[in-house]
Amino acid sequence: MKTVLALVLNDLKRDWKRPWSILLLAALPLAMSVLMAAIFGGKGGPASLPTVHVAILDQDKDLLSGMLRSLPAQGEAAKQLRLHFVENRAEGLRLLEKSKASALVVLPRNMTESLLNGQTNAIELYENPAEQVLPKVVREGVSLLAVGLSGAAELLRQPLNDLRELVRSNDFPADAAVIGVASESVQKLRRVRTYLFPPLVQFQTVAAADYQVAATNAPALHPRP
Amino acid sequence: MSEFLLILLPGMMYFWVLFIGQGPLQEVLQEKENQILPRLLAAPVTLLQFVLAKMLRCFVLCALALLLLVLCSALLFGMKWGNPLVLSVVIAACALSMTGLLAFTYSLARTREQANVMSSVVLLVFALVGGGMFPFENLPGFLQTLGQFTPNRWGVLALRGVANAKPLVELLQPLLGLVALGALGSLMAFFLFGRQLAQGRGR
Repeated sequence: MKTVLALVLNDLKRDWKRPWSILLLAALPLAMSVLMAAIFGGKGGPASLPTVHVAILDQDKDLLSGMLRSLPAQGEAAKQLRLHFVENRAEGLRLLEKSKASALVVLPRNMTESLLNGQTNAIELYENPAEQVLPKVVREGVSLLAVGLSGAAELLRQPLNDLRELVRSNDFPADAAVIGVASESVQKLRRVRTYLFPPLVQFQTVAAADYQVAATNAPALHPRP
Repeated sequence: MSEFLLILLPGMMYFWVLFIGQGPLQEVLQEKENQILPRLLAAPVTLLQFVLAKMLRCFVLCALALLLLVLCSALLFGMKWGNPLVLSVVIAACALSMTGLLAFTYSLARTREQANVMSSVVLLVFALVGGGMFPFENLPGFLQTLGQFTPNRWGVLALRGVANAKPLVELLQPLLGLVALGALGSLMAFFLFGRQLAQGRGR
């Protein structure tokens, strides 16, 4: 065994004198992992999420589509969602072809009026075939929007109709009319208060670091406080 | 970053450190081909001591490289590798399995060129199927089934397990696989090398 150890030590001394090939090979896994983590992993925060570019053809140009236009400019959505309003379908499809948008959403003519009259509408969605994930994100967003609009139209039909009339009229709205719309909206919302404020079902995001520790040290998951 | 590194780094570590371990075993064939071996054996060194020394050096180099990578990833990227004692057991098991795998592959080859081709194919296939290049979970089902039987997969499971603070008992399955491969591969390689080199010396 002494001889074996002497041989090993002798060889290791030789490696110690010329360590560069070993160090280079040892650095490769770290370098490649860091590179791949930087490309695919991001920094982990919300800023690392991709921005979704959506082309919108607004053929409705009424109250609800006007409200939708202002939504992405608010809060966190402003960072992750960019809307490009186009004048016609061909312009929107050109944006898809140039991969400047992940999807084209066409809001139909008379959408607001039909919704407030209880008639069905169809929002058209053109997905960019060159992209994999982002068009699906838009699809999910649009289906959520469709459900939300249907619910809102069902629940707030009268106040929305009144609000639409107020917005359409060229006169400055009277105090009483504004208070009437607000009061009616609040009354309608009060009926569903139990379900919406706060919602009956909520979700919490658990960070990977927390559930990895929790899974081994505790019987249940504990979200980060 | 460190969460994503934990997915990628163990597989990459196992794959690339195998290349470091190749050096000593290449020397066995190289010294046989260059007629250095008979001169070495003129000294008070037996053939088996010579082979054992090369395999031991392969083990030490693999273990040191793994340790270096663990330290660098912890210092540079804040990766947490869990209990140092369990980690050292895992590193030793990984290094042993690497020695067994490489030694067995090299002992099957007649020349250095043959060994280089064989080992490259073995290492690449194992790395592809065992999740050394891509996250194992993203591989198709049949590759995942095959990958369960590769040392790369066992190494990744053991390294990730210790980083996720899993107790040693939960790591027993991959550790046993690594140790079994290491012991069996080394033993077979020891005898195959001994026989092959003795034949070469006879000629």
